[in-house]
Amino acid sequence: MTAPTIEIDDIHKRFGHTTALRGVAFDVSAGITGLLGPNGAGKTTLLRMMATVLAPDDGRLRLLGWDPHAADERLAIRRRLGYMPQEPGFHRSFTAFEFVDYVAILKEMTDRRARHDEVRRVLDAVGLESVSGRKIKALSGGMRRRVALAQALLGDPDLLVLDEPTAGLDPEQRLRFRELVSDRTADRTVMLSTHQTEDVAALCQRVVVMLDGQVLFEGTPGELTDVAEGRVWLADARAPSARLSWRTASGAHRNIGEAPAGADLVAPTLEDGYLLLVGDRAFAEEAA
Amino acid sequence: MAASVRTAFDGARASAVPSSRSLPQARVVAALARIEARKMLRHPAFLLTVAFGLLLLRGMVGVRAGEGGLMINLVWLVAGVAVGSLIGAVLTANVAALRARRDHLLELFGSLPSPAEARTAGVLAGVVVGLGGLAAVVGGLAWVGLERFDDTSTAADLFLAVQYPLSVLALGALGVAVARWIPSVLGGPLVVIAHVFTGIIWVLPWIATTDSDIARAWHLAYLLAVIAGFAGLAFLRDRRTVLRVLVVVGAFALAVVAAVQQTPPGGY
Repeated sequence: MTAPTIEIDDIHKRFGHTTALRGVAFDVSAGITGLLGPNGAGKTTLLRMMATVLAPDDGRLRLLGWDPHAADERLAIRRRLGYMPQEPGFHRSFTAFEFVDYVAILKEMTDRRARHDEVRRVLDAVGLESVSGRKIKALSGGMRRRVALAQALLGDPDLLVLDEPTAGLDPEQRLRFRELVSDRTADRTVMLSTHQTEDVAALCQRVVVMLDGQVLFEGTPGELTDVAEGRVWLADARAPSARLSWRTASGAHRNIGEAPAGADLVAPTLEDGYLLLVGDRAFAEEAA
Repeated sequence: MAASVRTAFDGARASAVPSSRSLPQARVVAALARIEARKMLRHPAFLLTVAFGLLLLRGMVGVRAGEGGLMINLVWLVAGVAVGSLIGAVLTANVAALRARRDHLLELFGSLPSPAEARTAGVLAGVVVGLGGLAAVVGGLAWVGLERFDDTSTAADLFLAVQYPLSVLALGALGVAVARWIPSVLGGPLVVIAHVFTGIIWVLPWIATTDSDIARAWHLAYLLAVIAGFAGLAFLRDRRTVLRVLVVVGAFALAVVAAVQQTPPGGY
């Protein structure tokens, strides 16, 4: 394993009476890491810290080897960072090109010709070259998200922090996104938060699951899938021991939970592992 | 209401963001200024106020015929553009400085290496290059045009041609300062309304038509001080330093002295 590019050690964050993060700790190395968790788990708060726009109340955070709390080091991080917020804003009266160009200027790309080449490159990468001259207010929601992704890719940053980048994208765009992110060289770090477990299974080398401001699981997608090993089976009806069950296209019920003896076990997916992990915790809390 | 509350909340959250402490790079500010200048000159608020100025003074066009009449009519047109652009400078600069907050971009911009001052400086530089540049061209052309004809040369006033772009800059800087301290799209229009419909317009002289060289010098000093004061006030919102406080206090102190000095005995 290479040296970690993100080091998170016992981080806490509160907003008034709400505790968003409580003792979060894990390391991330180069490659793609997925952050999974239900709404309110603390994913966005953690990503904002990685994007240097929010400071932890307590704990230690290092990004690319630097401390974001120190002004000079924070600037060094920002020069190597690409960030796509969960709810990206836009200058609606700007064209897609103008907006990405504006961000490129704020990223200190001051050589006009080189900057325009870079803006064209990232717009081309997200498939927006044909609409780059169109005003953002005239673009669809999916196109706007791709504009947000394009600005994050400016300058091929060492650390790319993406908060739900595939939300609102159609299947073709999601596949294109996977292609785009996976094409990045191995020495870059991508941290992405998503509700799409398929994206994590398809893209990520590591996965972190969060719940209630804490890390519930950290490992490979295969290890998360293994959580559901022997706990997914098909039956004619919903089994009493199933925690979750739904009728599939074939008519059989896919049950997830404690499989009865002799059950028709099937290979679990990463989503099964995630659902069981989060469900187990909720079940344990209920029981407590 | 809900939207404005949300905007205020977003702003409060983003203000807690640790910002880049470096000063903005001059080349970043220059690049932003080009974009801001272009956007301001094409902004509907600016174009509408210029059209309003022309509409306001249209009655004067065509009043005088004969030799030099055309030039006088053109001067009234220029005056219409001037009145409109003075109001437009406040509104357009205000909207430009509000844009990042209004469009919920403070979080994204907070993650970039250029500090908030870069955007403030970019808008102020855009006011200078765009609105100030246009005013200098319009004022200069009007002065040259009037000078060329015997019939109108007496109306040519270099002092007016110089103070007009400075007044545009001062009002543009006012618009930026208001946007930085009153984060609402209503801030700019309220300043214009308060200015025009109250006695403030007589307290803060923007265009002076005095013949006294000393009063003229004080008026130019006044305009420069007001520009520095409002620009400093805008930067003070981004980061409070002793130097910036001293610049703002000093500039407004000079503006007060210059305003008093240029006021004729007995007042206007």
